[in-house]
Amino acid sequence: MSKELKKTSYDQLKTKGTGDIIIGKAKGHNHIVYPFGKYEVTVELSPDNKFIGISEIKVNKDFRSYKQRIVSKGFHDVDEFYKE
Amino acid sequence: MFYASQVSNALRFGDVLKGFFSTTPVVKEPPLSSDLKNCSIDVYLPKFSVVMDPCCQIGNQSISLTPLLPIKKSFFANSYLAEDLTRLNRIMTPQQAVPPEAWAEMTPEKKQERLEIGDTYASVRLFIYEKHDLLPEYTIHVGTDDIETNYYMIDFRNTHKLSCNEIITAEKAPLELKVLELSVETRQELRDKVSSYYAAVPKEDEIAE
Repeated sequence: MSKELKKTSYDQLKTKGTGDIIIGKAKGHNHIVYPFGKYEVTVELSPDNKFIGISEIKVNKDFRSYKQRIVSKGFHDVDEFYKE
Repeated sequence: MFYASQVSNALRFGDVLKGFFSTTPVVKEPPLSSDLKNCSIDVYLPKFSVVMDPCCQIGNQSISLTPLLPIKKSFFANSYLAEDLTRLNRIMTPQQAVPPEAWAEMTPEKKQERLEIGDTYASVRLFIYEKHDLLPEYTIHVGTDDIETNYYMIDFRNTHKLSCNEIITAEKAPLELKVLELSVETRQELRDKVSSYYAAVPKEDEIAE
């Protein structure tokens, strides 16, 4: 078997195979991480944003709430627009 | 619902009270000398004050209050806020936080800077109190228009301690001075915004994190 053929087969296996690990690595697919309670769920979407499946679920190690995380980023500096 | 339909028999965080004065210590030229010539205490009697202690901390002959203030007329320049001033109490997009004209005139770089911050609070030290029949109306002059309103606001920076022998606990206190109580949902909004006032991490500290 030539080296090129070997590589093609491997690429096909990576992109067209089924199974959890392979789905998560499909080329051109989008992966979006959603916080869900204390977990982070990675959702896989096709290039046209159709739901394909869940590719990963892991424990969210940042135990701050969504609200606590966004406020710690800062706030809108708007004083210049609301002077009396 | 912004206010509780019935006030409870205890002082709560965010309650509107009447009959307490507000004080601001003033130091003209620090540091203070022992003769205290360069300092004074401004005292005034607002129509209403707001309880700024968490419910479980009210008592021991003291309470933290902040005066209920008229709202800023400049808020009416932002149609998103003018439609419902209590939106200032909640998280909003960068575009909603500024008047539409100001957003339109902003350079793409400035807009991008603001968009990168994402959704968060604007005017982080202010909290709006919704209109209520028990709060008197007043007039705001916006351009050539006179707007009658009974929306009010508090500024967290005006919070001061007041000693009062009659405040033993949240329940054993002069409850006849209580005018309005926030609903559970609104009290949570106030709690969230006060927390964010202290929780915001300045840029110079972000590096150390």
